[in-house]
Amino acid sequence: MLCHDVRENLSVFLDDELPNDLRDSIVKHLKQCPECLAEKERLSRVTGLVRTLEIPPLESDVFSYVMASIKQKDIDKSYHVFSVMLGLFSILAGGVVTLVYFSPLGQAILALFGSTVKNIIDVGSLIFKISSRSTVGIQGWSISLTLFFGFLLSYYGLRKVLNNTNLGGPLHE
Amino acid sequence: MSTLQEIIRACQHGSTEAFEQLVRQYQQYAFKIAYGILGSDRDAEDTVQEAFIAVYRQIKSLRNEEAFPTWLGKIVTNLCFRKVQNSGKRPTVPLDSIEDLRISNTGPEEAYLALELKQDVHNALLNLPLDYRVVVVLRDIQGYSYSEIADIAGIPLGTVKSRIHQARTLLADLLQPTRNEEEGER
Ligand SMILES: [Zn+2]
Repeated sequence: MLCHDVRENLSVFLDDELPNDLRDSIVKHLKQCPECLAEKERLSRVTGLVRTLEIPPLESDVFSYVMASIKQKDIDKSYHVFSVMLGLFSILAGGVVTLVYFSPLGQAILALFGSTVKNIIDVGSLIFKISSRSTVGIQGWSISLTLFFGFLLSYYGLRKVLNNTNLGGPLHE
Repeated sequence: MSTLQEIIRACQHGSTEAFEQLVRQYQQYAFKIAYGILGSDRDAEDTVQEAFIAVYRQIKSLRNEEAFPTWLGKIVTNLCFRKVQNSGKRPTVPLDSIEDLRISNTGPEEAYLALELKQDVHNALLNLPLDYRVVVVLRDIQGYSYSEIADIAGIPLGTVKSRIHQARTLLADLLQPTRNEEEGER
């Protein structure tokens, strides 16, 4: 084996990652070649120095920081989702309002919807023999329903946000 | 005492207690790699924290529980790469200039390098080009096998071998510049 080939393989040799035959021929070469042996010693010394490098202990509470950080990111995400939902809702609501109040088609749809509901309630009133107060009934009923869902949505979003506000800050402050 | 497999399974099912156990068990392990590569405890600490956030989010994708230490090593190493590349503080030395590095340290200033060897080791290590530093840290500080290093660093096995060898030769030159330079090839 040539010195060059031996030297190329010295680190792999030191790490014991060589196939047996190659390792044996390097052992054999090292016994008769002081230069390669010296180089092996040199590399082995460096490796030893790196292996005994002092690593300071990690002092901080990694777990608490990681959990706080994950929670914070979740809040940011829920804020994001909440605002997107709110935005979509506004656009939708705005669209409906525009459609209903500014277009004849919307007026027609509203009238159709109103009369349908009115008829259903009328039928219901007939069944239960309740006097018909349907026109007022429709408006009050739909406003209540909208408000109810609006409150539900806001409550859900706010609760999610408020629940997670009180967090430990980052470790490095 | 739970086994690593049990801890990881529990983490995958969302157990915070298991995750806490996992963090406490492996934080120093991750810190060793980050500190070896970055050379600053503050940067290493940040990297370990980021690494465990990634672990928390991605642990469900880990199929083989036994591979966790290597997987964690990969996450930490990737984050270190990103950190070094993003910070202008310690720019990475391109691989081509490795010869220049060798030459620049054979001048008259070389004597001071031989001073306190122990203290110099990390400095010398930090002077290695990033790709070389990483393989030495993974091998000699963390004790990974060559095939694990190939997996972690995403390089072929042959490259791992040659890079470790070049890195050590370079380190030896940086730390012991007084050796006789006549490398007679027979
Ligand atoms: Zn020889």
